[in-house]
Amino acid sequence: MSGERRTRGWVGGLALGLVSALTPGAFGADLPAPPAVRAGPVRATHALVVGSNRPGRGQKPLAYAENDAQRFASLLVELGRFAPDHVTVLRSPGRAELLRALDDIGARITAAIRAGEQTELVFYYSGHARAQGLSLGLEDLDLGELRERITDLGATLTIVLLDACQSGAFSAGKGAEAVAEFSSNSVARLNVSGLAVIASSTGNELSQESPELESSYFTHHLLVGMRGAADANRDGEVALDEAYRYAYHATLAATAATALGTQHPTLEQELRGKGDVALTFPAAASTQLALSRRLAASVLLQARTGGAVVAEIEKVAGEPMLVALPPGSYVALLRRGGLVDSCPLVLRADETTPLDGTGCTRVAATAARGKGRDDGAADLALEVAYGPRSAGGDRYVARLDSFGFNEHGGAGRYLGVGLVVRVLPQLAVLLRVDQPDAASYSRNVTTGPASSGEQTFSWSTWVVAAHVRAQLPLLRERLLPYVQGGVGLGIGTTEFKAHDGRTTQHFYGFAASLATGVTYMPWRHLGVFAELSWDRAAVIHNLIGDVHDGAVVVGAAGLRLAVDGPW
Amino acid sequence: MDSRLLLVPAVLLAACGASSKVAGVVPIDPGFDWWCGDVPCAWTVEEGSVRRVATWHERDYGVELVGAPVVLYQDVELANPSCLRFVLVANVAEDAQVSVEVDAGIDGVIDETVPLPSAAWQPLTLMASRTVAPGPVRYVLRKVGPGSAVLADIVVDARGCP
Repeated sequence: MSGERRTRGWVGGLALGLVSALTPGAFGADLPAPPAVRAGPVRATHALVVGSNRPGRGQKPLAYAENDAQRFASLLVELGRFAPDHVTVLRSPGRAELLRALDDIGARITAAIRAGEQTELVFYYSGHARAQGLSLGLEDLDLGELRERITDLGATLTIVLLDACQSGAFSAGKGAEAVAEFSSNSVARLNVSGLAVIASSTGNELSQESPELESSYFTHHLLVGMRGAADANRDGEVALDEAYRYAYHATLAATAATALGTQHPTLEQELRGKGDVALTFPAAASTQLALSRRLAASVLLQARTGGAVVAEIEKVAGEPMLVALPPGSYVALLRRGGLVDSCPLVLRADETTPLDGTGCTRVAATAARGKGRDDGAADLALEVAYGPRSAGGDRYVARLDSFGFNEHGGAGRYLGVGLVVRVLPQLAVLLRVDQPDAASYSRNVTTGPASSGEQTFSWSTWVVAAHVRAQLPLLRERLLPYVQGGVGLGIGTTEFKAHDGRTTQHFYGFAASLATGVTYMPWRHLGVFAELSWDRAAVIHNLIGDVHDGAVVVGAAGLRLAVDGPW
Repeated sequence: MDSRLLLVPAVLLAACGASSKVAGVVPIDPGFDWWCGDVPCAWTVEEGSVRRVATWHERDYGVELVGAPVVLYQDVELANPSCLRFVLVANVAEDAQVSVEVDAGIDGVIDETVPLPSAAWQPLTLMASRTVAPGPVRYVLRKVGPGSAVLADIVVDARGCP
């Protein structure tokens, strides 16, 4: 993309000014100096941002398209100098609603043109598509018609960003039909004078979503680039071709190891004029993260709350970098060689926070999870459960009644502690130690010529068992319904206590358990779960030959503490 | 045998002292939990031999009537006219031929004999057919058959007649 072919950023109507709020001294000699950037808009800018998770016929729902659209719209306002009321966001619109929104914007563009203003339009779509058009639920919007509608609006500059393909056989893909050249077709159809089109993939590829990023790969990296990571010439602006180039390489690298295959974003533009088409102005943002010139690392930036990946940047030495971010608390994981440093960051409003790798804490390499792993759950979890149980009667218990014992407590509560190791997103194994059964009995007996005493008899059963858990990850594994079964060793202990001493006996035998439950993890490392289980450990018996059935039905609730495993 | 005889007066004293308060329920050690060696302290062995054995648990004892014949008894005092109901937990072989006998007035004449069916530790409830007048009563356990018999519990409910 040559500089000559670039159209002047947002076409002409920008008043030049120096409004950098950044103070050079704040960066230090090693950090990028704040560039001069142009002032706010005097142009008429409009954006129609559409996200649709709804599937069409034969398609699966998308998880993040609507969220991607909202993030894109927010970024236009935050860094793109779009007035909030000039950004229209549609969530899962129907065909008529989308066209009506285009008409509304068209009316505003027409009014601006009549007033002699230059006009720009950004159209962003994230959702399903088929070879010939966008899938808006059960309705389709033909790409040819969309092209006509957009070009008929008469904006001086139109930028179309399409993060869409036809749904494929894979759940996380927005894939295109194998015979269709969706991206190429769409680019060709929309590629007219004054129009630039970025598509998320070529026609034979799948556009993929990432649960880890909670976004599509393409939109995620496009947004990271627009926040400043793509500002290759460090002029404080992210131009269209810079954003594309960044998104292209980042998406390519991120999807190279995924099961659905590599994804190549495409850019076609037919623009006249000079200068860059600036998409965003990160240098003018009030809150920034400044990556130092000498820093060389793979930088994974995560929000401290919730752990969402905000940015992944391959930072090379010798090139400073500014990334505009919302104020807040973050954690930057710097991977250098086989070492990973964790750097807590607090980005305050109207401040530029340096990141040079100092003041960080060395962590295990696994703390920085590779993005190729498409899940959000931790590998290990400790579960502690407690709850009521219900046990049926058996001959062993009936025998105690025959011999004059009365139950007086200790029964009715279940306690369990388990260590869960996640093998696959849908499969886990766990080792659980629990006490499914306990009871205590007493009776009065004669102990002398005119004296009596109390005898007590109690038992408890502990089970150490290995379980296999099949689970269905939902909501990025925050919600995890499961069924599980396990077998193991049952250990029964009885204690007979009389006035002249106590006798303790131990029993060992086979134990089995079936359970179903659901885990809810509002945080990555802490959550709760509820479980209904049937446990049986028929290990305790008496001299007569009665075996305590040991079968209980348990309704338990508990806490789940999750950590990342050492792999 | 000598040691057992020494125990009899004490047992009788204890039994008589408690009987008036419980209105005829076997007052002393219905569960065979009070032992004097191999003999239940609250009972008197008149003939044959007995020994202490474990029942459902090694610490919960019953009395085994060893060989035949075996006779042991306990004297109580009934406060009211009573229809006696015996509730036993026992392990009795078919050929043990064990019975519970009632000697109302303790005059040496058995007024009621209630045979025990064979049992394998399940509770047995047996009713005497006659009403017993207030006063001293002797409960007698008698085994005449060769089969094994272990009694773990014997409660005599004498609270009244239907």
